Amino acid sequence: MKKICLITCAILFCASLAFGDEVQDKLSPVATEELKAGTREMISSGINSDDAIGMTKLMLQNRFRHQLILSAQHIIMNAQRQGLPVQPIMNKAHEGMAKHAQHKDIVQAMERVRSRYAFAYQQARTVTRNSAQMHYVGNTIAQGLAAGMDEEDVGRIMQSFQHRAQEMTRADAEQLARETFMATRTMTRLGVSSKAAMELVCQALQNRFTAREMKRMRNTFMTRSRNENPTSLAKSYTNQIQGGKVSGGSVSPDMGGAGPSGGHGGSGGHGGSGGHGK
Amino acid sequence: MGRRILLIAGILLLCTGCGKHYFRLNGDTLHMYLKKSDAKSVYFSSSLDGYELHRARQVAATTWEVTLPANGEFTYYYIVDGTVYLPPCRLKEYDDFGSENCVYAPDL
Repeated sequence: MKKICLITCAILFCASLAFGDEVQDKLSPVATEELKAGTREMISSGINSDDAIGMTKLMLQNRFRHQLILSAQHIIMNAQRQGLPVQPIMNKAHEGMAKHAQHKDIVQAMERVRSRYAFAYQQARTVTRNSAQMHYVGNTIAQGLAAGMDEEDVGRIMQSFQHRAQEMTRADAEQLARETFMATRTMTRLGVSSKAAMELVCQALQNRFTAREMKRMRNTFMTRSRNENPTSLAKSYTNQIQGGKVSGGSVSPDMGGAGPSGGHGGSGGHGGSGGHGK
Repeated sequence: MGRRILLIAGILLLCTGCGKHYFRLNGDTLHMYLKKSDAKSVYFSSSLDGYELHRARQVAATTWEVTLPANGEFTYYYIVDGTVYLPPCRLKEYDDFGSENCVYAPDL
């Protein structure tokens, strides 16, 4: 027993030395001891060592103030502690540096991303305990927020969803959550306002749409938005559902009941239709 | 008549600086093209690899190409002659720096 303890301690000691050496080797001599300690803390909190060292090194190369680098490290460690994905936050730092954004703005943008994911994952945890499903729904909500969804509108959608989910099996409810937030994300990415997107999916949920119908609606919406203004289209869909033309189980021909099409790019090019105003 | 010619000439002049953007899917490889008549250097940056900059290949006088693995959706933008450039694209999201990024979705 003593031997096992001794071996375990030796392994842990060697591992910590290895981390220390890696940080020391790759960040010296430009980084202060405080930054190296922050980087080691990131690694010991579970962040990939290449990512932790890489981000710190890149920020040093871009002449960030040490205080800002420490803030960036804390944002990532917070995300890690909260069980949020850290890659989108690190990506934001890289994106900001590639775009030559102000250093302060980059760190603020990283915090905005963390905050979006924190909210999105909090919502997703109310939908499912299945880790894979929760991550999928959480990421979809966060991406919808990045495209222009308001947190309040996400909350309203979630209320409608919870009401609808009471009548469903867990598996069906998880599918419906995925499709609901995918539809919302697609619409906002196409330039539909948060409110219009929320009203449409809430109306669909109130009219007992299934996951399959929600998916069909998203596909036909994408197809029709090639030639029609996405915001007008969202309002028209809402009116159709509200007017009783469409209910769960009967997607009307007006809404493209023919099902998914999703033709691929080819040589046509992107239309750039619809504004993207908030 | 003169006015009409002026109008057409004006529109043509405006469009010479415009970019056209399209893509082709070839198996599991995605080819993205940017038509930009006045560009001297074009870089592509995306969430696929942490926004690393990749020099686009000039395949015709005004056409630039990047080749990517077609495995899921990603956000992207271009840097044309040192300046961030967002081509006309259907799907967009805010970039948290006061601008936007294009979104590529396989099912678009």
